[in-house]
Amino acid sequence: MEFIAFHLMPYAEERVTDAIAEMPPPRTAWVQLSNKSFDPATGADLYARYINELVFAEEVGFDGVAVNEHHQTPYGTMPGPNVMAAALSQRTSRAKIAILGNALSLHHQPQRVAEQVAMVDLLSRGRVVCGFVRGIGFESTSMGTTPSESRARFLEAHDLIMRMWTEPGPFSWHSEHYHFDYVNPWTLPLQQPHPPIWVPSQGSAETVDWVAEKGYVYLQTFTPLERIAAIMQQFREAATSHGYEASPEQLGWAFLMVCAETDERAREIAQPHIETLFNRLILGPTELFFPPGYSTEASQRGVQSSKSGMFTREDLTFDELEASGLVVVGSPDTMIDKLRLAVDRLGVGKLLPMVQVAGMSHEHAMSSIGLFGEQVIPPMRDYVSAVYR
Amino acid sequence: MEQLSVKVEDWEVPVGRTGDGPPLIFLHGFYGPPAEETFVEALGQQYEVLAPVIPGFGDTLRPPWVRTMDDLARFHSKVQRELIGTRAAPVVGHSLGGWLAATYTADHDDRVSALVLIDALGLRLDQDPPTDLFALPADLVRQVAFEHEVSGQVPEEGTLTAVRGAEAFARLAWSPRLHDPALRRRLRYCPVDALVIWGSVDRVVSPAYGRLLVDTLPSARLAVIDEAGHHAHLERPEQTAAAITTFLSCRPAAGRVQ
Repeated sequence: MEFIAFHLMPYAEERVTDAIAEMPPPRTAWVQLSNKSFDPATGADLYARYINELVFAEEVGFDGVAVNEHHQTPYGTMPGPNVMAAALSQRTSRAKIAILGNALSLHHQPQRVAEQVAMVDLLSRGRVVCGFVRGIGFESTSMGTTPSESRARFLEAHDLIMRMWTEPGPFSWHSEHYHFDYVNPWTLPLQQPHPPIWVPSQGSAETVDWVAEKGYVYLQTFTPLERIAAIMQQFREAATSHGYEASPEQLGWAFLMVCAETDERAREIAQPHIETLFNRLILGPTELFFPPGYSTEASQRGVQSSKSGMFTREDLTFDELEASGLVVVGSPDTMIDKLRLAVDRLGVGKLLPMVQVAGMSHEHAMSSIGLFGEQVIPPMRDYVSAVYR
Repeated sequence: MEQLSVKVEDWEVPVGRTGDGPPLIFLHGFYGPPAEETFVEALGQQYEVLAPVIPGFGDTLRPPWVRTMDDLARFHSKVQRELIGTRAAPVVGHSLGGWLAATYTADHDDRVSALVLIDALGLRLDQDPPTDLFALPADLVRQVAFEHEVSGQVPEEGTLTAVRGAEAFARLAWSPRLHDPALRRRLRYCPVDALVIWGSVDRVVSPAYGRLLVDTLPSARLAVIDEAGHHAHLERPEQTAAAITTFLSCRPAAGRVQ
C-alpha cells in the first residue's frame, strides 16, 4: 500500500468564507468571488506553513506528497502546480512529488507542461509523478477555454507531451487544436522514458477506459464510496478488455482525512472545516461546473435534470459526508478499520489522504499527519484488498 | 409552419417555412428555432418565411467543422443558396441569429436585400458588456432573456434539444465572450439597408447596442419596442413584425432578383 499526502492549500480565512456567505445567489467560491479578500502576506504565510506540513508528512513515513491545479478560487491556491512541486523538491529528499495534475486543456502551448514537469523531475532527481487532468468546468470560465474542446485538447496535449518524452526532436506536431513546427525540448525527465502518469478523474466512462488502455494510474476524488467501488470495478474490467489485469497499484483513492487521539476529538476538529469546505469552498452553480459541451451529451443531460448535486447545497452535514465516504475521520485505530473496509471494497493500492481541510489549524494538521504517518501507515503498509486476496 | 429539409455538403438542415410572397430568411436566437409562431406567421402574410435551424439547435447535430461564427456564416451561405439560389432576399436575425445575419451580410452584401437585426449579439461595449449568459444558472438566464415569459420557447432542461443547443451556443460564443472583435469594422463597410430592432428593456444586450449598430452600419435606422426584453419579436410579435414589413415595403429593392 502506498501513501501520498495530498494538500489542496486552501485560502480559507474567515473573511473569505464570510464573503462567500454574504454573496447574493448564486453564491460561489469560484471565479466570481472577488479576490479583494486575498491578503498577499497571509498567502505567503500559508504557503510556508503548508509546505512545512508536507515536509513533515515525508518525515513521518508518507511515500509522497501531492499538489494540484485550480484557478481563481480560495478552494486551492496552486494555479501553477509545477511551481509548488519545484519548491517541494528542494525541501524533501525521498518522497515522490505528485503533480495531480497539470490541467492540459487550459494550455495553448502544452509543450510548456512537458518542459516544466521535466524541470521538476531533474530538480527532484527523479521523484516526480506526472498527473494529467482536463481542468474542471469552472476553469473553462477562468481561463476562457471553450468547454466543448476540453476533451479533445486534453487528448492531443497528452499525445504531444508523451511524444516529446519518447521521441528525439526536432519533430513537427499537427493535430486539430495544436500546431507546432518545431518541438525539441532541452529539458527531459530524469526518469526514463518519463515519470509515472497518474490521472485523477470524476469517473466518466471515456476517461476510465482511456486510462486503462494506457495502463496509467487512475485516481478518484470527492465521490461517494459506493460509486467509486463501481468505477474501480469498471476500470478492472476495462483493463481486462485491453488484455491485462489491473494491479492494485494502478488504482488510488483520495479522501479527506482527519486523525486525532480519540474519535470524539477527531470529529470535533474535523466537523467545522469539513462543512466549510463543502458548503462554502466548493460552492458554485452546477451549470459552471459542467458548462455546455464539457461532458458527453448523456452526462450533460443527467447534470441538467438533477440539480441537487453537492456543488449547490449549502447545508451538507458532516454526518452525511462521512456516511457517503467522502471523509475519513477518527483515532488511528478507527482510521485503520475504516480504511481496511474501504480498501476491501475499492481494491485500491494507493491511498491519498487530503491532510488539511479548509481552515484547519497548523497544529491540528501536523498532529493529524503525525498520527497517520506513525500509527496508521505501518499497520496498513502490507494490507492487501479483499479484491486481490 | 411547414418543415422541410435541405442538404448542404453532407449535412441535413431542417428549415421551417410559412407564408407566401418573396422569400425572407429568418435566423433564430440561442434558444433555438421559435416555438412561438405569431411572429413568423405575421411575416408570412407578405413573405415566404424560410427559417433554417442553425446547426446544433433543435436537437440537430453540429458539424464538427463549424467552430466559429465565420465558419457558421460560410455554412449559412450554402444553406441560403440551396434555399433561394443566388438572388438577394431580406435576412432577419435575432440574438445569436442576428450575429450570424450580420456576419453573413458583411461578406455577402449581394445576397442580402435588407438586413433586420433584432436584439442582436456580436458587438461589445466595454462600458456596458453583454450580460454573461454563461456565468448564470439556467433559471437566471431565462429571467434575463425575457421581460415577458413566452411559453414553449425555452427547451426543457435535460432534453437533447437543450443540451445540444447550449453546446452549439457555447462553441460559438464562449470566447471571445458573446461577440466578435472584428465584426464592427466589417459592418462599417456593409452597404445593405438595415433595420435595427431592440427591446427597450433588453437585459442581455442593452439598447445601447442597437444605437451602436445604427451608428456603425452605413444605412440603418433603429426601432425600439417598448417594454420588450431580449426577445422583442416573441414578446411583442405583431408590433415587431409590423416594423419589419413597413421597413421592407418602403424599400423598392426588397426581394429583387439579381
